[in-house]
Amino acid sequence: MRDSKSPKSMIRDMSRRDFLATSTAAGLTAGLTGCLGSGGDGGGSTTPVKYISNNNSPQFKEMLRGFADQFEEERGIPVDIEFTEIGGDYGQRVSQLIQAGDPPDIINAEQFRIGSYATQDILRPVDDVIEVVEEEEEAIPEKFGFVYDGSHRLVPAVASVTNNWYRSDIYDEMGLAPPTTWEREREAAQAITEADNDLYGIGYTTSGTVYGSYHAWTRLWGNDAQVATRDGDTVSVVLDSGSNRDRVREVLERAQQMVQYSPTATNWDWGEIYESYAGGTTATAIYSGGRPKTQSIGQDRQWADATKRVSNSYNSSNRDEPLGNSAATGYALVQGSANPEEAKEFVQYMVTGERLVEYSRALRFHNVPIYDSWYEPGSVYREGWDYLNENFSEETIQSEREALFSDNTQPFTAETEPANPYASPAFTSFQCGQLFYNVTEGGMNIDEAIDEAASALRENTGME
Amino acid sequence: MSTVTNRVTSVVPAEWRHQIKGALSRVFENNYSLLTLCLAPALALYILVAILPMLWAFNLSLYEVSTLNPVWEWTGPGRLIDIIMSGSFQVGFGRSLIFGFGSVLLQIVLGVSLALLVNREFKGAILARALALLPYMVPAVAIGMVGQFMLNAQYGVINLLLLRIGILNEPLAFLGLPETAMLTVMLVGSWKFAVFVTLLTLARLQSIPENFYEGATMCGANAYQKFRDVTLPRIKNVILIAALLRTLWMFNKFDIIHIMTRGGPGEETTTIPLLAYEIAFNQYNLGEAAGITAVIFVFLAGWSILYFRVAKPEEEVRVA
Repeated sequence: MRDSKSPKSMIRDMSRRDFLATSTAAGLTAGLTGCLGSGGDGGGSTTPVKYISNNNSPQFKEMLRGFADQFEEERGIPVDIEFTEIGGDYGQRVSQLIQAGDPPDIINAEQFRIGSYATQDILRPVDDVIEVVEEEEEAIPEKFGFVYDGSHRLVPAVASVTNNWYRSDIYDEMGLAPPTTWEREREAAQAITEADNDLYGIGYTTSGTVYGSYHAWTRLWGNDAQVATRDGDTVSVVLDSGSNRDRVREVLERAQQMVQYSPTATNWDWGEIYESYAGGTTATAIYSGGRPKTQSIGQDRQWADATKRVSNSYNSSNRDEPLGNSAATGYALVQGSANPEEAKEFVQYMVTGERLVEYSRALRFHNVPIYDSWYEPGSVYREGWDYLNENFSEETIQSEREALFSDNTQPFTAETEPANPYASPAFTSFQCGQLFYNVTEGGMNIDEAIDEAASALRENTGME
Repeated sequence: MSTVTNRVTSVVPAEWRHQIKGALSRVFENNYSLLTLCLAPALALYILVAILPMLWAFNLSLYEVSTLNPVWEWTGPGRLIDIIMSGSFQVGFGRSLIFGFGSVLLQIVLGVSLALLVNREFKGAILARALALLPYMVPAVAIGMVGQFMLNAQYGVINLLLLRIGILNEPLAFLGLPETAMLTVMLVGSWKFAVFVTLLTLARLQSIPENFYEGATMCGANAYQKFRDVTLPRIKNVILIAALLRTLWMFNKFDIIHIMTRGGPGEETTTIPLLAYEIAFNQYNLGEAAGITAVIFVFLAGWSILYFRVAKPEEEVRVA
């Protein structure tokens, strides 16, 4: 009898076709029974708030997951956080979800990037969130927000300001003045580069990267040169127009001069600029935030304490105009998502009380608070925070505070009133950085480069 | 029978089981049905992961679509002409040609040389072959990052070495200078991908009977003549196949360039895949990016057909 055979002999007697038929039949019936048995518990679960975060370091992951758990415990609303790399990966993931018709509820947003989202009409107004946050904390300076079509679209959490970090040990030793003006900066860069100390005077970046774009735009502001202007609803590129063009030309001529006191920085991004400073290659670095100093502290460099800041250096004819960028970072809510009200509640939760203190401290004074009172010694932010109080002098803390809240620093969107939403695509097109590259290492004539940059900006950003 | 099968048997009535088994047996007894069934899963997967995205991308290229907005606005095939005529596409295409064909040339020379080297019999030959194939197992991302680190002008080991032995007077930013960036990326990429050529060539070399060489030796052929008259004709078509595949892959290469230079300095290494990425995710124009990839797909498909027609690499491989 067939049944009496051993399993091995059964397999030998069975043809491949028989085996296939038997196993497929078994698979189909098992699948059917599985399907039939799975329909019992279809409803009742709450859809979690979906937050795509670009804070993906282990420390931030743990902290944000902790916020989400606490929030769920207190309010009964689950939050699902997906972590991605900052930069391109983040944009890819957000756009994938939007294109798939399943937009996230909450995204991270920076002032320099949010205009690209806003002009696509994918951001919900957040005026009510800001109102609640201001009631609980204190008034948020208007320049840290982003208004589009009459409504706020960004809930700011922290900010960063343009710092021109320099090694005061070297500057003092060589009798150099801090690099507050173009001329002082050049003198110091030249003296330090020419001295026999294995140091370049400055990291002067001319690259088509995010940092290159930031650096170039900041340098333009140092000479009161603008990228854009507004006339009613029309925003226009003015790099190549009138007296502004002359100022742009001056900046580019200065760039041609300054690159000789810098390592080749034609492909540098944020990482390279702070690493060159913290690694002891350069003595001066412009940065949005505190990384050159915080990295020097983290790497236990002897010049960490001697790392001091001044604001963006300016051409002497431009003492009173905005000199540098102050960029807020925070959260935005996406149109068409599943849980708008719950998402608002979670954002409010994250940007108030002890969560914001914990979050701000985790940023190690690279990004800094948007509330003026937090800079006072004894504030809930500073009290008991040894890292800040031991590594940053009161002079540096107050200097950064003054710069952040001064009218002399503004977001790049503030070139026009109302804010220029096309500053974001202009920024991420990297055309300003490319302009600097073209006239330095790229060997292009300055006027030709200005025309090319202006034309590319008109073509790619929505500006005229 | 297994526990699972027993459970299934207990749940499904015997009559159903017999009916299903009978129906399936009839299907499997027919060769065409069996062939179809065997191919169907792989074919379905191929359609799902290759054909449908391709069709989707072609369709997308005919619309104005923002990366950040799911609304599609029809623009029509004229968009593809605009893309081809645009300066940034033409420059990027030129860079892709340089990167693609330059890399393949390097990989063929390096790969074939390495294959000839490790094909020789010597003590430790098996270990040498294993080591030679090692770079292919390292992810391109890791190679790109390590390459960038080693080539760094300030602390990179290559600069330190070249300074120490006196080839350089001062550090050189290999990835930061327009004169050196493209060649450097090609070299780093080729270090890994030349191994693919080595793999194919080595397999072919080992199938050449030893008596061919013995015969050549008896006829008085020197090493070069043996290579020219015995080895090269037998590996020629494998090299042609490798060249075709590598050209297609290098032309589309994104990861290693993106990691090492992000398309810079300036736009010196912005090849077509990087241009498409930049347009999609920095300029938020998904439709145009899809158009660029569609144009490149057509070019590569046309090039492959032409290559097969002219070089006929499949003939020798089929005979082999």
